[in-house]
Amino acid sequence: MKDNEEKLNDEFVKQLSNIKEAPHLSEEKKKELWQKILIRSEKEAAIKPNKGYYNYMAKAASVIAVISAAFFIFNEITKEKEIILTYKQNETIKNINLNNTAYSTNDSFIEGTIDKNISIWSGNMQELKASIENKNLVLNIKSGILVLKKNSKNNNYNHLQIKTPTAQIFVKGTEFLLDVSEENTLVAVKEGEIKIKKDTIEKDVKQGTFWQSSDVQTIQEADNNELENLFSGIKNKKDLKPDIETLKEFKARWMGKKVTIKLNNGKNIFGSIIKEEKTKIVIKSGIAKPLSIDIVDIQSINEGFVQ
Amino acid sequence: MNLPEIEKLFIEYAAGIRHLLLKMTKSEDTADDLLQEVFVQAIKYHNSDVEKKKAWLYSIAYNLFKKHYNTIKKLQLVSSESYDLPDKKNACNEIDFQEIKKEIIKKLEEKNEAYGPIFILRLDNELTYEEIARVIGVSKRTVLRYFENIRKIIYKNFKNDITELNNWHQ
Repeated sequence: MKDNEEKLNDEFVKQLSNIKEAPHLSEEKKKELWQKILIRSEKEAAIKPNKGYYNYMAKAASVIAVISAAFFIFNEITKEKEIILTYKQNETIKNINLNNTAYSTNDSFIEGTIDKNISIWSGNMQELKASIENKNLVLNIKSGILVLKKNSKNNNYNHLQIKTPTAQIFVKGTEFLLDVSEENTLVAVKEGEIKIKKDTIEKDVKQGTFWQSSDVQTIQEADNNELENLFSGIKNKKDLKPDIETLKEFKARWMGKKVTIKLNNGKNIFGSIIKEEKTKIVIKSGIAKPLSIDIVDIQSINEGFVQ
Repeated sequence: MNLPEIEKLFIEYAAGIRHLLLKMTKSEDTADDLLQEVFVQAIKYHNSDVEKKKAWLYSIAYNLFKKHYNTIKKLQLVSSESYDLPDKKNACNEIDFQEIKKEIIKKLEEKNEAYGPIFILRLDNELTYEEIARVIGVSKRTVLRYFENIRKIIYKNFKNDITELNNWHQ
């Protein structure tokens, strides 16, 4: 049976003889390559440990090197979190290393770079921490708005991950915006693609779309102009707190608690209430500019809000 | 085995091994570099017990290529345009020759990444089934099965082209 198969295959190879290519290598090229091989072999032989005393010493050095490497790896593993950047509202950034040049401007704006390759612009940031965990760069955000641009693949870490109270974001190389609060995380992607994870659900959020943790399954198309305005607004440190008059222009896109608020002047605004206090309510007004937490004095609202 | 013996092997097999590496890496520089590495390793690890020296050298080359492939995560066989074809073909027929071969390799790769190298090793490098089995690291039975599949794929997709090419030569 095998012989038969071989015969059939050989016959087939014969038929293909017309498309056969004879390997060809000129004598000159051969000589050149052989010389290179000899040089490379000599170089490798030169770094080979000799026998006898030197061989013994080389082996001892190898053992020491292996033990040192194991100790270093053990240290790296046990050193779970190395804080490389910490920011808290109204405090200056501290604990910076790994070539970070992040700095804070007045109030809650942050602009700078992390590990040379990540540019960040931020507003209304309550707390931002960056750390290395298991060779991954991890950003922890409690609340605030962050535009992040990852510029290069040559980093000092394996992956970039962002943790918020309600989601995890895995960055593939992109420019995107995060709007984080304790109740919700919104991600809008301007360039590239990111992966988000909430509980067991994972989604890829692509360029020109946005997602929020309050509506895990839905990825929505974003208006390009809105996105552009939003990103440039934050990068140019425009005031992220809109006045009440301009709120009317915003479209409510939040899938959580959507409300209509009637203002003193009779106009309606749309948004999601994310926090209620005695004299204030906190409204999120969608991904359109200025995508922010806005604090509205409840006394200036005529009829409160309607579900 | 000593250095003159390795040199003899180089003279005998360098062209064939380079041909295979060139086909698989799609780069003359990479193929030359890997070919040098094949013989540097041969010098380093030579052993008089090595039988089937041809298969041994090809298996070093194949393993180095796999290592290289894992680095670039890309297996593309060289296009005929960047490769010097043998002189025996005339210019007119060479075009058909190049196109058909390119298409065949492309088709084989679509089915199984291993089919391309096997096809080149058998057809161009004239390795036996036993030698291919040693190079690829599978049994001869598997190589025969692979080659049967290759035969079926080519007959199914290129039978007319091959017949035409054969007629041209007759």
